[in-house]
Amino acid sequence: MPWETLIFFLVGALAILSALGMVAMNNPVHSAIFLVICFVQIAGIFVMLGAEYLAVIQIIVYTGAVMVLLLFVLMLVDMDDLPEFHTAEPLTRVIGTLLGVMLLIEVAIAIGTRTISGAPGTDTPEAVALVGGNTQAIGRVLYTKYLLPFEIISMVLTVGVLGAIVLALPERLGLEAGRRRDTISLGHPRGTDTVLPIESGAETANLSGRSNAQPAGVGRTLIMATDPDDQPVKVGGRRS
Amino acid sequence: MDLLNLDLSGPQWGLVWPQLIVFLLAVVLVFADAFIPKHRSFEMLTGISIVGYLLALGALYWQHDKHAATFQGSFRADGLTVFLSLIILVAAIFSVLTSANYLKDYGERVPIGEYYILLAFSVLGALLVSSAGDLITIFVGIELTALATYVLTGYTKRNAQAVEGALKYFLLGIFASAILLYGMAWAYGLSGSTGLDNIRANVGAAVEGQEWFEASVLLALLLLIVGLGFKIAAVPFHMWTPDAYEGAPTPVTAYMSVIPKAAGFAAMIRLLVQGLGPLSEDWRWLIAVLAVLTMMLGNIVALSQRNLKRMLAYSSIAHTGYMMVGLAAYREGTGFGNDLENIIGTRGVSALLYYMLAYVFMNIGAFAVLTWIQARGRGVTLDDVSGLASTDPLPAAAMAVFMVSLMGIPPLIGFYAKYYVILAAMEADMLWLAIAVVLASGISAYFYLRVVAVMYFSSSDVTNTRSVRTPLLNASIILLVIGNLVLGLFSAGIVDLSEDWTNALTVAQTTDGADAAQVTNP
Amino acid sequence: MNDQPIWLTFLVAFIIMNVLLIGMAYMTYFERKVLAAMQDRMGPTRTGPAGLLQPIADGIKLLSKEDLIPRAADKWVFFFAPLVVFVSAIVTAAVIPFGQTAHLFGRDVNLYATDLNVGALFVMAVSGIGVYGIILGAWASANRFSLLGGLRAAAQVVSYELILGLSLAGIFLLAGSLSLREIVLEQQQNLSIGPLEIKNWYIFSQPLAFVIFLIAAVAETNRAPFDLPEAETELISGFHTEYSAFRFSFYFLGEYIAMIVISLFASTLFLGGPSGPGSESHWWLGIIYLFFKTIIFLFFYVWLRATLPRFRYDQLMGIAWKVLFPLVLLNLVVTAAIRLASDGKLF
Repeated sequence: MPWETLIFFLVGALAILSALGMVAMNNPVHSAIFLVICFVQIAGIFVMLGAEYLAVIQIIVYTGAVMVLLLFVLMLVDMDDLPEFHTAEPLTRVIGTLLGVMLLIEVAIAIGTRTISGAPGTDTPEAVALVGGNTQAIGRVLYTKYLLPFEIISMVLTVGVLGAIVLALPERLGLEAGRRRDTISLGHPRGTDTVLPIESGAETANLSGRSNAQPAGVGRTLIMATDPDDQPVKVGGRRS
Repeated sequence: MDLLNLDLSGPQWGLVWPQLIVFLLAVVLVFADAFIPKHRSFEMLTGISIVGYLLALGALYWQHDKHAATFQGSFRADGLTVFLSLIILVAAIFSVLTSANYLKDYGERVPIGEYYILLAFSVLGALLVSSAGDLITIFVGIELTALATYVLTGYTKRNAQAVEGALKYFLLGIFASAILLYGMAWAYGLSGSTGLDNIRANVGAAVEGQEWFEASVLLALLLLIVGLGFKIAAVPFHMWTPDAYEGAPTPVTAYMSVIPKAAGFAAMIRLLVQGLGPLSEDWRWLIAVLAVLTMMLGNIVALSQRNLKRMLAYSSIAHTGYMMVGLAAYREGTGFGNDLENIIGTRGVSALLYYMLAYVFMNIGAFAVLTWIQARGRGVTLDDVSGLASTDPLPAAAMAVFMVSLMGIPPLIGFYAKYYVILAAMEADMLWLAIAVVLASGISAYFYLRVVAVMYFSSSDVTNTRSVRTPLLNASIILLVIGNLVLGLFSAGIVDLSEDWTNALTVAQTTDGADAAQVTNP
Repeated sequence: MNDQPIWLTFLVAFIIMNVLLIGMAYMTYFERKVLAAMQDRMGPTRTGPAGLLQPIADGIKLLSKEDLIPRAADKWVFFFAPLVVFVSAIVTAAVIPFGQTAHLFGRDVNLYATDLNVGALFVMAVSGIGVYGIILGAWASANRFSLLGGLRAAAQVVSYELILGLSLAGIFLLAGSLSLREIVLEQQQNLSIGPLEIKNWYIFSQPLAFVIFLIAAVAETNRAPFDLPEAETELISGFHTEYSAFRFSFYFLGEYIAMIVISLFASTLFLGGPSGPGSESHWWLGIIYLFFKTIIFLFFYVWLRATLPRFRYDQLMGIAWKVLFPLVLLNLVVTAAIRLASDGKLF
C-alpha cells in the first residue's frame, strides 16, 4: 500500500508539473510535449485505478493520434505568426491569474466542505472482476446503457470529417493547382533561409497564383476576440 | 445498473420516429449528394430536406402522447421533447426555405449537398438534446449541433469575416463545452448518476426539508450555467455572437440564431429543471441576474448598431434574456419527489417554450427579409434598406411586421410571448424581473422602430439592384408573416400544449433504478 | 500465471532486453548477408569468421564518432527524441510471452515480463509513443529535410496504426481477450476443417487480417518499401539527417528493435507464439519455435527491401485509406458476423 501511494504521488506530481509546463512554455511545440507527458501520467493514474483499458486507450487516442496530428500542424506553423500569449497586457494577466486562483479556491472549498456524496454504486471491483475485467465491463455498459450517446458520438465524428473536408476543399477545382503550393509551407523559423524582404504584395501574389493573400508573417493582423462593441477591422471586403 | 444483470432489451423504435427520420434524412442526403447529377442537385436536395423535416413533424404527432423513456433512459419522449422538437423542426423547415435561394446563387462556389447534410445533423443534435434523459446524451447532442454550426458559419470560407466569426464561435464554443463538461462532472459526483431522474431523486433526497446550501452545489451550478450561457449567448458570455452572426452567411445566421439557442435552452431545462429542480432556489437567482444583464446589455448595445445583422445579433442576445426570465420564474418547494403540487412556477417554463416558438417566427423572419434584400445585391446596413418601402413595398411590410413583433406590440406573436413571460415572473413573485422585461422592451423599441422608419420615411439611394426570382424565400417570408399575425391570436392552444412539459418530471424511468447510488447526508 | 517476486520479473525483463540488443546487432548482420545473397554479393566477410564480428565493429565505430549538434537545434528536444524511439521499442517487448512458465533452479519462472490484460493494445500504445521520437527529432533538427521526413512519418504512422489496430480486432473477437498470453493459449486449441485437424493459429482463420497486418507493420516501422520518412533520394536521410554518432545509433537501434518486436508480435498473434510440437512439456522448445517464427518475418522484411521500390507518398496514403482501410473493416464485420453466428446469436 505505501508503495502504491508513493507511486501515485509521483505520477500525480508529474502530471501537475507537466500541466503547468504546458501552460508556461512559450514554444507551442514544448507545450505539446508537456501535454503528451501529462497524458501519459494520467494513463498511469488510470492503471493504478485498475482501468487498464482506459489507460491504453488514453495513450492510443490522445498521445498516439490527437497530439501527433497537433504536432503535425504546429510544425507547419511559423512561430513568428503566432500571437504572443505571454506578453499580453499586464491587466489581462493579473485578471487571468486572479480568476484562475479563485476557481482553484472555489474547487478546494467545494471539495473540502462537501457533505453529500454518492455512496459506492453497484459496479464494485468484484462485479467488474466477475464479468471478466475492466475491458469487458466498459464494453457491457457502453453497448447497453450508453448506447444512444455512443451512436451520437459517431455522428459527431462524421460531422467533424465532413466539416473538415468542406472547409479544406478549394472552392473551384481549377484553383487547386495554384493553391497547392501554399498548403505545405516550410515555415520553420530556424531551419529556413533568411526570409527575403518582400516589397510588393502584388508581385508575389502573381507569382504564387494567389489573389489577395499576404505572404506569411508579413503585415498579417491576427483576429482575436475583442470587445464586441469595437467594430472589427475590416479584413475582407463587404460580403456579397 | 448492475454489470451482472444487463438490461439487454433493445430500444423501442416506436418512440424515436421523429429523431430517426431526421437521422435517415441526413444519411439519404449524403447518398443523394453523391449520386444525383450536379445540375439537378439543388432542386432534389432542397426537396428531400423539406419532405424529411415535414415527415419528422408528422411523426411528432404520434410521439406526442407516448410519455415514455427508452434507450435505458437516455431518450425520453415526453411533453418537453415534443414541444422542443416542434420548435426545432419548424425552425429547420424555415431555415431550408431561407437558405435555398442563397445556395442557388452561390452554388458555384460553395457545395450545396454538404450544407443540407450539416443542417440535418445540426437539427438532429438539437432534437437529441431536447429528448435527452442523461447528462452524456445532452453533452454529445449539444456538441453535434454546435460542430455542424461552426462549419456552417464559416461556410463561405474565402470571406475573411466569415472565417473570423467561425473561428471565434468555434474557440469560445469548445471552451464553453469544457466548462459545461466540468459542471456535469460535478453534478455526477454529487448525485452518483448520469441519469437526470436519478440526479433529481438523489439531490432531492439530500435537500429534503432543510434550508440547504453548499459550495460544491454552487460550483456545479455555476459551471453548468456558464457553459450553457455560452451556448445561448447570455451576457457576459455573448462575446462571440455579434461577430459570428455578422460573418456567417445570412441564412446561416437565421438558423444559428434559433436552433443552437433552442438546443442550449433545451439543455438548460433538462439539466436545471428536470435534473437539479430541487435546487431551484439556488439557481434561479443566478439565472434572474443573468437575464437582467442580458436584456439590458443586448438592447442598449443594439441601439448603436447600423449593420442590421449586428443589430439583430444584439437583439437576439436581448431575447435570450427574456427567455431566461421564464426559466428564472421556475421554482420548486423544498419538498421531495416528483409531486407536481410542490412546483410553483411551471408556468415559467411553458412561457419560455412559447417564447422560443415565437422567436423562431420573428427572428428567422427578420433574417429572411435580409436574405431577400441581399439576394438583390444590396447590403445589410441601415443605409441599404432606406426607402425600401418605395421600391419593394411587400418585403418592407414584412420586415416591419417582424420588427414590431420583435418589439412586442399586440396583436403580434412577440407581444404574447412577452406577456406570458411577464405573467410567469409575476406569479413567481419576481415583480422586479417583470419590470426589467418591460423596461428592456421599451429600450428596444428605438432600434426596431428605427428600421421601420428608415424603410418608410427615408428616400432610397440604392440604385444597383438586380432582379432575381426567389420563390422559396418569398414563400417562407409569407408563411412567417402569417405565423406572426396568427399564432399570437391563437396562443391559448399552443400554451396548453407547452404546459404538457410537466410530464417530463413524471415520466418514470422504468428500466434502470439500480444505478441510483444512495446519497448519504451526514 | 503465478505470482513471483518482483526481482525475478526484473531479471526476466533484463534478460529479454539484452537478448533484444544482441538480436538487434545480429539482425543487421542477417540483413546484410541476406541482401548480399539476393544481390549476388558476399556481404561482410572481413571482421571475424564470415564477418560475424561486423556488428560489434559497427557499434564501436558509431560510438566513437563525433557527436554533432546543429547550432539552430532545439537542444533538449534534440537530446531526448532518440531516446523515446529506443525506449518505446524496448518496452513493447515486455508483454510478449516467450512461453508459459519454466521450472528453473527450483522456482517457477514466468517466461514473460508482464501479462497485461490489454497486452495487445499496450503494444499499439507504446509504438504510438515511439512516433514522437521521430517527429520531435525531425523538428528539433531545424532542417528542412528532417522536417519533411518528420511530417511524412507522422502522417504515415497515424494512418497505418489505425489499420494495424483494426486488423487485430478480428483476432480479439475470436480470442475474446486482449491479453497476448491468452491469445497464445487460445491458439493451442485444435481447429478441424473437415477431416483435417490443425492448430487454431489465427493465420488460418484470419488470413486477410494477417496480410494487412504484415503490410501495416512494415509501414509502422518505416521500413522499405514504406521508408518515406528517410527516403535518401529526396530527403538525404529524412528525420535523422542531422543526427550523428551515439544519438544516431539510438534511432538505428530503435528501428531494428521495433522490427524484431513487431515480428515477435506477429508470430504471437498469428503463428501461435511459442506453441509447437512438444512445447507444452519443454519450455525451451517453445522459445526455439518462437525464434524461428520470428526469423520468418524478419526475412520477409529484408526480402521486401531487396525487391520492392519505394512508394510515392500519395500512393502510400492511397493504399492506406482507399484499399487497406475498407478491407480491414470488411474483415472485422465478417469476423463479427461469423463469431455471432457460431454462438447462434445472429438472427
